[in-house]
Amino acid sequence: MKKILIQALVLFIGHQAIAQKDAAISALAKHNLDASALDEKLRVKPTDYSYDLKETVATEGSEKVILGHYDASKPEEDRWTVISSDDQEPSTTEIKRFKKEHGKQPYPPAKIDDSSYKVEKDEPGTLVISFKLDPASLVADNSFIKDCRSYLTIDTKTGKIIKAESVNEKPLKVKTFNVPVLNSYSELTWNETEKKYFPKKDNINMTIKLLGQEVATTTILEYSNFKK
Amino acid sequence: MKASSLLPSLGLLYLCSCSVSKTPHGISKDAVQVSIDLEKVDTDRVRVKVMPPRQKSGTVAYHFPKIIPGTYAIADYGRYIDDIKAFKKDGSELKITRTDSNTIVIDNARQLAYLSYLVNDTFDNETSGDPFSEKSKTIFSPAGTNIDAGKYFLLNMAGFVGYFTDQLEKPYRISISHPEGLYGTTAMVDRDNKANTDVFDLPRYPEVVDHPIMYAPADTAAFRVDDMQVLLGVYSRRGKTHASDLRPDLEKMVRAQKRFLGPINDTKKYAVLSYISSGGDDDAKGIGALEHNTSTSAVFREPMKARDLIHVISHEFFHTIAPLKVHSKEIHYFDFNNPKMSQHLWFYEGITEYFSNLFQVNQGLINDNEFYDLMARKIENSHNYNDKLSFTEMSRNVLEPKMKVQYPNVYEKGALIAMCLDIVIREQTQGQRGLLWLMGELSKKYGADKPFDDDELIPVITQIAGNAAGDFLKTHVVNGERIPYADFLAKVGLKKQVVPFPEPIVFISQDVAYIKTDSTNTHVLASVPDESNQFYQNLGIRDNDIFLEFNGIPIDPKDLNSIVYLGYDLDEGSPVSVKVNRAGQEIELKGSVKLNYEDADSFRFGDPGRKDLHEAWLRK
Repeated sequence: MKKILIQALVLFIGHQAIAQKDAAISALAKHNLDASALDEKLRVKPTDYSYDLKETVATEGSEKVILGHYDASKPEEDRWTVISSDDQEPSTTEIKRFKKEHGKQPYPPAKIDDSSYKVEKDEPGTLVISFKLDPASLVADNSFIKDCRSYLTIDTKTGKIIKAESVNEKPLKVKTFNVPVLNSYSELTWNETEKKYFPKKDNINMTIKLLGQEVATTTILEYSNFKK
Repeated sequence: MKASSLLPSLGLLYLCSCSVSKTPHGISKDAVQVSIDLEKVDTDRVRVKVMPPRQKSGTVAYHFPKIIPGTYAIADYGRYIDDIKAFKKDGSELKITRTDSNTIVIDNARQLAYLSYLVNDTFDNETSGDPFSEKSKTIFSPAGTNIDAGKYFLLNMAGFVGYFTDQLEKPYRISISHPEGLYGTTAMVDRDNKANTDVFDLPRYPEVVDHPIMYAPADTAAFRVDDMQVLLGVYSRRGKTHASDLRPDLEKMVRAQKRFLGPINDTKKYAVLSYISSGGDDDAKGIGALEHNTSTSAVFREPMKARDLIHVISHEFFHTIAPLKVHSKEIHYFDFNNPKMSQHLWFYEGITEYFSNLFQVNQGLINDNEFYDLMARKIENSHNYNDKLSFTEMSRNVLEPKMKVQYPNVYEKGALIAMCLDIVIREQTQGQRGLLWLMGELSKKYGADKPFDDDELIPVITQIAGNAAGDFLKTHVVNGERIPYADFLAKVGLKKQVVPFPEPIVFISQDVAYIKTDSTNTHVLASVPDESNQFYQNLGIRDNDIFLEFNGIPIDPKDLNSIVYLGYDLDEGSPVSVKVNRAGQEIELKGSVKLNYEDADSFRFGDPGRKDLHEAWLRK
C-alpha cells in the first residue's frame, strides 16, 4: 500500500512540468545568454530515442534495482521491456508497476507563476533561477505541485541547464495523504544533434505518512545508451 | 479479579495491596514483593512499591529491561519511570544513583526496605512512525503499557517491575489493587479472593515479564479446547467490538490449531488480551501482538473484524511450539539489559508464521489456491527486503539499527524458508514426515527447560531430518543465497500462474487514488476519474460525493488515516453501507463489497505425478 502511493507520487514528480521563458530573461541577458535556455520543450524526454533505464528504489534498509529498456521503434504499448529486478526475473507485479509508471503520458504543460520568479544565485559561472507553477494551470492529480518551488541551475559559460530541482516549501497533501518531504533533482546533458536536453539522472526523495507511519524513499533513475 | 459490592476505603486498599506479607498465602522470604496501585492514578501514572528480599551486598542495582523477549527492538522501559526513591524500614531515604534510564544503584542496600516509583504509560508517548524503522524509539504497542484511570490498564510487566542485579531467579509476588469494576484478563492464577486486589506468585523474573495482564470492564469469553482453557478479554475504546462477537471464530480457529498440532501442544491455559484502538492520534498505533508462553497481548484497530483476531492469534498461538518448546540459551537465559540475540529468528518467527498459514489449509479453513496465494504474496513482499542477506546474520544482529529494518522479513521470507524446509523433508521421506514432525522431534530432544546452543541447531536438524534439510539451511539461511521458490514448489506439483489478487484498499486501485479532500480539509470526497473502481461502481459512488459515514462510522476529515483504514482489507461480498452527501442530499448507498483485483504471480497445482507428495504436504 505504501509502495503504491510512493509510486504514484514518483509518477507525479517524474513528469513535473517546469519553466517557460519569462521574467528571468533579464538575469540571463546579463550573462549574454539566450532566453530560450528556459524553454521547457528543450527538456521534454525524447520519445523517438531508444534507451536503457536503471531504476533504484531505496527505502530504509532495502534497495531494489530494476533494469528496463525503452524501444522507440515498437508500438507504444510494447515500448518498455523490464529486463531484471535485482538480477532476477521480474515478477508480474514488478513488470506492471514499472510499465505503468514509466509508460504514462506526461501531464499537460503547466504555466510558471510570473510573480514567483527569483534569482537565487548569480555569480561567475552559475546562475540559479527559481519559480513556482501557476496553480490554475495544474490538473487535479498534480495540483500539489503548487507548493513546490523549482530551481534551474545554469552554467553561464555554456548557457545550458545542468540541474533542475524541485523542493516542497511546506508539507504536501496528495489526495488524502500527507507528504512532509518531496524533493527531486535532475541532471541533464545537452544533445548537440537534437539541440535539446537528454535526461541523465533523476533523484527523487520523498517521505510519506500513511496509517500513522512515515516512510522515506529515494528513487534514482539513470538513463543511458540513447540511440535513434 | 472478581467484581464485588464491597468497597473498602481507598486508603485501606492501598495498605492491603502494599502489605503482601499479611495475605493468607505464604510467600518465601526470598521473594521480591511488588505492589501496584491502579486505584490512585496520579496524572496518568501508577505508584509501584517493591520490597526486595534482604540484600547481602552493600550496593545493589535495580534494573528495568532494555528489551524483552519477542520484540527484537530496544525498548528502555526505564524511560517511563519517575520519582524513584529507596527507603529504609524507618521511612528515611537511602541514597540512589540513576546511572542510565534503566538502572538505579542503591547504596547501603543492606538497609533497603523498599523502592517506590511512578510508572508512566507508553501508549501516550507513542510517536507516529514505523516502530521497526532504524531510528524509532517507540515501544510497539502490544509490548507497551496503558494507564487510563478507572477505565483500562494494560500491564506488560516489564514496564512496571524490574529486577535486582543477579537476582533474576528470585520468586516474585505481585499484588495489584484495582478498581473493582475492572476485570483482569491474564493467564496467571489469582491467589487472592478479594474483589479489588489480585495476588500473583511467579517463580522468577522472566516469568513476570512473560505474564501481561489487562484490566478492563468485564468483556470476556472463555471456552475449553480439550484440556486447555482459553480466555479472551476485549477492550474497545469505541465500544464497537465485544468478546462475544469474536468468540465463535476464535474457538473454531483454536480447535483447528489444536487438531493440527496434536500432542505436541500441552498448554493448559491461554489468555488473549485484546485492546482495540480507536486509531486516533492519541491512541495506540502499533497494531499487532506480542507472544507470551501462555498468552498474547494484541492491539487491533477499529473497525475490527474476527478475521483480524484470527490472523494475529493464529500466529501467536503457534509460538507455544517455538520458542516455548524449542529455544536457544539466548532466549532461555535472556539478558534483559545486555541481550545476545539468537541467530535463528527464521526458526522462531518463520516456522510459526508458516504454520499459522499451513494449518488453515490443513484443517479446511481455506482452500488450496488460497494457501498458494498467501505464500505467493509472501514471495512478492520478501522482495521489499534484502533478499541476499544471511538470515542467521540478520537474526544475530537484529538489534543493530541497520538490521532492524530487515526484521519484518522474518514473517515473509522466514515463513518461506519454513515452507521450503517442509517440502524438502516431505520429499526426502516420500511424504511421510514434514516440518511439524521435525518440531516434535526437537521438542522431545530439548523442551521448555532444556535450551540448545545456537550453533548446534542446524547440525541437529541435519541429524534428524537428513542432509538435504541441512544443505538447504546452510545454503539459503546461513549463506543467504536466494531461494528459487518455483523450483521447490514444483516438487509438490505447483506451477507458476498469474492470478487476480484483491487490492488491499478499496479507495486505491491500480495506483489511482479514488478519494480526495476539498481545499479546506472539511470534507472527504469521492474522486472518480474513470469507471475502473469496482467497489465504487457496484455501490454507485459518484465523483464528488461527500463521504459522511462508512459502515456506520462517521468520516472525520481531520483523521485521514482512519478513513483509509475503513476501506482496508474488506471481505468480498460482505455487506457495506456508505452514507454520502450528493449535491446537498444525503443518500445511503447499500450493497455488498466488490473488491478491485490486480493480476500477480501465484501458483496452481498442475502436475498429477506429484499428487501424493502434494497431498502429504497440505493434509498430513
